[in-house]
Amino acid sequence: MAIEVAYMVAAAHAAVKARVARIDALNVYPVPDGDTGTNMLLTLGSALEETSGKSYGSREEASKACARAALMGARGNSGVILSQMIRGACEVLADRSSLDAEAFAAGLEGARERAYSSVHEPVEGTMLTVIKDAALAAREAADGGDADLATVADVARQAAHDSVGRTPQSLDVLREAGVVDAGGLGVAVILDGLYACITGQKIEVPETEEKAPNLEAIHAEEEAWGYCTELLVEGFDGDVEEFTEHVYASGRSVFVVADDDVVKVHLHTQDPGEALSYAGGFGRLAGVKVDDMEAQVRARGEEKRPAARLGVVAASRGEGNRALFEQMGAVVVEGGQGENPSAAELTGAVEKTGARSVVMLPNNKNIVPTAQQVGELVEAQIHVVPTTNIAAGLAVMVGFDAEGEPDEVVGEMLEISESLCVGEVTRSVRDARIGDREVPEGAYMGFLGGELMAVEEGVRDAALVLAKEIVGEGADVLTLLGGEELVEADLAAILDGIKDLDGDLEVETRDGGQPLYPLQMVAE
Amino acid sequence: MTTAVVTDSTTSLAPGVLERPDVRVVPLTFHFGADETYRDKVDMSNEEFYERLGDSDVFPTTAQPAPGAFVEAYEALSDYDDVLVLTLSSEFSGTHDSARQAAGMVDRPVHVLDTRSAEMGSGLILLEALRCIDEGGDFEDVRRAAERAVGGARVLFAVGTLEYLAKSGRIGRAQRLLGTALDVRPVLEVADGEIVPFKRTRGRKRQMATIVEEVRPAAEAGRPLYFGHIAAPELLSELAERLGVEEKLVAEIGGVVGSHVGLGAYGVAHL
Repeated sequence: MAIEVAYMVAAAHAAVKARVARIDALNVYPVPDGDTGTNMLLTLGSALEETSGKSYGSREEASKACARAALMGARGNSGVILSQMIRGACEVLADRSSLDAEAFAAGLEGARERAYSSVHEPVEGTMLTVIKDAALAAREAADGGDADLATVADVARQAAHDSVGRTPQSLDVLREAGVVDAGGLGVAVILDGLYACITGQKIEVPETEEKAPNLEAIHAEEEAWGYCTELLVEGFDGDVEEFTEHVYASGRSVFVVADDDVVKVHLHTQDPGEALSYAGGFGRLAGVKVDDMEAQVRARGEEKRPAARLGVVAASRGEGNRALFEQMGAVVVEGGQGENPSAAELTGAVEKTGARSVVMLPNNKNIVPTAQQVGELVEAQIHVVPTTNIAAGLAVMVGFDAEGEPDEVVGEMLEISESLCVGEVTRSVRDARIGDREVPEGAYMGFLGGELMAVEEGVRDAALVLAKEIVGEGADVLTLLGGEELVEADLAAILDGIKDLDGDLEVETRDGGQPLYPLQMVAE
Repeated sequence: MTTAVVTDSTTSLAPGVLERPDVRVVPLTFHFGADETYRDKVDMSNEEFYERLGDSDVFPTTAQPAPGAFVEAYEALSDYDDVLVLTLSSEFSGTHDSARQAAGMVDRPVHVLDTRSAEMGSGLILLEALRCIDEGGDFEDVRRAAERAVGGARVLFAVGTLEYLAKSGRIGRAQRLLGTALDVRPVLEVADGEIVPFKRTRGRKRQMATIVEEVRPAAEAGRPLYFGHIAAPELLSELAERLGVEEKLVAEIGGVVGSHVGLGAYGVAHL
């Protein structure tokens, strides 16, 4: 007796192949790695390759070959579970003389058992639940007596699709993302394929059983960071993969859903303008919505936020600097050279952090004493890290970790602060004499560690005198903060000059926007 | 009583290990897009992989071995009384599950142990097990030696960027190193099977100094060390030199782990 099984495997394979993109897209995590459909398809592909065009001497031989091929070709977690289902079904069918209603139900039961026992801790709301529900429905139909094979297969596939629809009720991650389980849908699709094969019919593919990710649910979970930006690109013309990669790289909580020539995008970014102009290069923008997430959180009030263990208050000037500090988790008080904040302003900021322990970054030597005084005015424990410019404050922020052990984190931030070499360039407001140096009004003065090192006519020369000193001391990283007066050409010349001094020095530039200091720098 | 060892391809193999008759290595796979599948450390040279990783704008994905591949390895070792399987941390991959499922599919006792580590870390654990075999230990001795090494192994490594780990979803608690407004060069640790942040540093020099400081006691005490890198041989030599290590064991990280940590990463494991 010649046994062929390839036609059944081919039907399952074809069914998954038709839906592979949809299954892959059902990815709850905001990373572009949805590959459940692909993995299931490759697993079936391995079984198909083995059985294709072959006839076996016995059912047992055919079953064994098919099961082994699936196990060998299993790919990814969903593929491994699928291979166990195939193995379970094959083991049952090996003993049957024909594929009838009862055998079909028993096969699904075998699949269910192998699938459950292959997983260390079975999770409901996944492909396991779907095969279980399908097997249960098939068994009931088969035991009814008068159901034929086609009816049992139909009942099983219907039950599987119903079960897929219920997966979000069992798994919070699915419910929150507003998607059904990808592996579960794969199982239902395979049963569609088997039913089609048995009846020789073309199956109807339900259009709407999966929804696009539910953005409301995502919003509830995601962090308050940057601007929540949503848009549609209509008439999308370009490489979707390239587009997706770019969007994922440029923000957080990213979702990109492509459907024919319409691409829907959701992301959190500090720079929604960049996202819009990039997307605009691929088609017409529609449904653009930009919300300031951080403002929304501020508006929601403090009660909802659990008390953080450690917060940071930073005194800073300039829009760019404010954004940098806020991005790293600090509460910013506007103030610095020429505009020192009051103790009351600092106290208010400390309360705003909601933390029991707060690091103060004065970022200016005139604010250090005020910061120290705050300790007597608030309940929170205050740690002053005496940073003397904004660049130093940002470097110290690198050591901040809101979830870390407060004492350790404060120690780390102090350690960074002590290892910094701090410099700035500013203009003289009058003729003066500092030490033995004449400083004419309008001259650019370069300070390093508070000491006057350069008096030059231009900002470039003053900056490079400081850079030379810094290179001489063997620095590793130099961070430059451009002030509001600094023009592009000067910055470019300064960067070139630094490169000539030391090609190995890692230089990082940020647009701080602080007044009075065209340049602040910190070397580490 | 004879013992054989099966491991997966993410374990760094010291010279000579692959040639041993009592060792079998089961490859994981990595993929550039849906159409290109490669077996880890088999189908593509490391050099070529590093070049592809640098050039490609698709992030490669990786997959655990099928249980069947482990079954084959177990069956190939039928001349041995016992089989010990050392797998990649189950926090990173389903490889451990595949190995365990395969153990239930053969008619012989197979003991599967999660190394809670990868590459150089699991490489050291494998070496401890093999040393015990070579010293005539029975299966229980070998298993205990491996378990002891699992408890003691530690990997410290530096990455050029957190981008690859973040995209791969294997960043674990190091998640909170993301989102700084300035570039950081973090030092990470594999501890109890997970990637955890060790220290945020700025600049290559400090990144290396952090590892040197942390590993120096182990190096000075003569504990086993295993170095590894992804296209960063110079940095690695400098690290070894600063630790005062002359005869060093060096692994080139393969495609699977490389896909998750990215180019320019280097580090050292110690027991």
